Amino acid sequence: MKLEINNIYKSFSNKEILKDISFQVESGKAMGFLGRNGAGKTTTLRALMGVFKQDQGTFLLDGQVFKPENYKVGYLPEERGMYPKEEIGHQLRYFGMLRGGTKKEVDQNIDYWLERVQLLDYKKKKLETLSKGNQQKIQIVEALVNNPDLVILDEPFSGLDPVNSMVLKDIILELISQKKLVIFSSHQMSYVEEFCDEITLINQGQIVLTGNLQEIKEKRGKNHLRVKTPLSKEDLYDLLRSQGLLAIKEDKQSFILETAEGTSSQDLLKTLVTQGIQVDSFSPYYPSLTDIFVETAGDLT
Amino acid sequence: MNNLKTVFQFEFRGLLKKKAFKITTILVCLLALIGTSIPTIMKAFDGGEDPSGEEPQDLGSIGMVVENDALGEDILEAMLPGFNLTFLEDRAALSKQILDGDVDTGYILLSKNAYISVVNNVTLYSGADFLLEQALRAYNENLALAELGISPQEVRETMASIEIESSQEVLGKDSQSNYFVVYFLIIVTFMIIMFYGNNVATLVAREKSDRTMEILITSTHPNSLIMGKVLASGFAGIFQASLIGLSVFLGYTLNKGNYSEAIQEFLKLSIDPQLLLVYAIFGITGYFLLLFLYGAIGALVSKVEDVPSATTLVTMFVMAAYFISLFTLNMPESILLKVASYVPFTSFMAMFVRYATTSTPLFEILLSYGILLGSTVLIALMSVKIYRYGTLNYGNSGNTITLIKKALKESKANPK
Repeated sequence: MKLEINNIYKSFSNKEILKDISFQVESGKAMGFLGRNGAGKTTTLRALMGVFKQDQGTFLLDGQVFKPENYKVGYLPEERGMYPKEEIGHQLRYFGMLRGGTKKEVDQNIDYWLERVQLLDYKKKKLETLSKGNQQKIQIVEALVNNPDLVILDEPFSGLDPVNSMVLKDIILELISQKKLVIFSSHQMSYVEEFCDEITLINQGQIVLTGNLQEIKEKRGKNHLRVKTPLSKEDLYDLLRSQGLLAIKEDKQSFILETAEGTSSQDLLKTLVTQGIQVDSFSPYYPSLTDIFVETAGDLT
Repeated sequence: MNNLKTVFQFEFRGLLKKKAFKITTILVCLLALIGTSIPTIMKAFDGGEDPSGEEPQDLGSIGMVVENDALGEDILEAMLPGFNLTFLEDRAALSKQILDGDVDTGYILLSKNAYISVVNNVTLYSGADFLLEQALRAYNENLALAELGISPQEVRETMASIEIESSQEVLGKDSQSNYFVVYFLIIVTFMIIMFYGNNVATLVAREKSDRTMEILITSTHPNSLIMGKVLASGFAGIFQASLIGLSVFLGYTLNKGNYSEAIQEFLKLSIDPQLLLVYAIFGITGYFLLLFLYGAIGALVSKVEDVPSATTLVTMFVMAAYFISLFTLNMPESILLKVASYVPFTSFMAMFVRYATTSTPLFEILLSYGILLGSTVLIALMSVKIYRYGTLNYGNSGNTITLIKKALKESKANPK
């Protein structure tokens, strides 16, 4: 399946929240929809889910206008909320059936997913008796109990501890391996960097970057090298300046060398080695997702 | 609408599982059973004594002052059997006895056809007054007849032998015979609407404050959601009312033998199947109309606490229907009742009262029902729109009417 989001505009009270949002998502690939708080992620996903209608633009699934009610969709809204005083198993069945699952299928899925998030023992408990983090996991299960073909998760990592974040990552990977179409939004770049195939960055209601994460990293890391050495930044610059080194940046791990187009990394390494300089590491540089975001959209805070 | 059944089942089961529902139903059913068993219970406490036994009844004590030798003491004692008579010297002694509470009532007999009754406090009715007056009248009649040379005995026998047979043919409705059942049904309807109306409004408002709404609204069409909720609450109310009704019926059937014949006859007159049918059709339609209104208003508030104030307007409609129906029960021809029987917010009760108490032409009933049904459908459609808009807009402020207008305007701009 292929979901195309084409030229979406949306305003509230004459304030333009989404400006020409366009990107694509394919099944079998993890798509991270990333942006700062208030960038327009939730508004985009809500428009996609038909919570409100966009002012302009279309959502197409395999070329057809996408209407959520015609497909099996799993949706984790940003506004978390289920029935606090209702038995967990009971309400999961209700939501699963509302989203088009049969009773038998939903019941099987409830047991499977509750087991996956290690909450099967709580099936007969009321939701309000669980901790916030566990309630969040129940919400994620809610989005999956109808065995959806499309999974739309708005900020699924918020409120989860590192261990549960790992569990969620595995779940998303499992869904992707089943060729489901998965979109999830996040403002926590480090969580999604490890397993995202595709990313779309939104900033102030506009898409600033979209594509394959590895390709973006390679493109952004072109003519850059990561070098770790005890040498000072100035000495390193003086040593390699004549061989095409343009600038040196530094992060917590090492120096990041920016070189001129056509500079041979072998020549640079050879120079360091022949000068008898200690080289702890020497590798191509791929910027982190955070770096890419800061570079593209400004400060992340 | 595919999910209507799912929503209905979930909400209906949820309502039935509620402690408040279980406790109220059990308590009211028990009260109904006890209430209908009162004649049996009273009989059990009477210890099987026959009230019409030979024991002379003690009707109270009377203080009597006979002035001007009006009548002899023995004649007076014969006139007031069952009373404990004390003959006193003068008025002062009588007053003292009355004020001290030694006698219940006092009489000063001025002549054989004049008396003054003396009481401490005036109560509604004194049995002694009536009896004394009757006895004095009979005594004087006898004297007068005897003076004319006619035997009082013969006169009485002749009078008693004349009998007039009469019966009434009611062409229209006998409002008396339906009074009890109509009164009862109006109260039951009022209570169920107030209870379940607020229930629907709270159900919807709670989903909003729990933020469950976004999952629901993206899972299924709002039609199914609001319809499911209203139907579930509606049928829970009907179910509860049926259980209570069944308890009353069961209690009555079990204790029927101990009811006096008059009550049995009265109840038999009251339960007219056609009347119950009109009640059911109008009552249920009006009930759902109001539930839809309550549901829509529940969607307009942000917090459950705001439900009572927001639903005031609808509550006023229900109160109006209730009071108009109760007040006009004794004056079925009033214009107020006629008008109310066409206004959809009141007709579900008012037309029932009209039908029960007067001869209402069939076309008027059909016209009123047409208006009621049409309004119910319109309000149901409107409530879907308000629900769709209201549920996703938190922090609304303003009065209910403004919010409804805003919701309808927005829903036009943002159809699902």
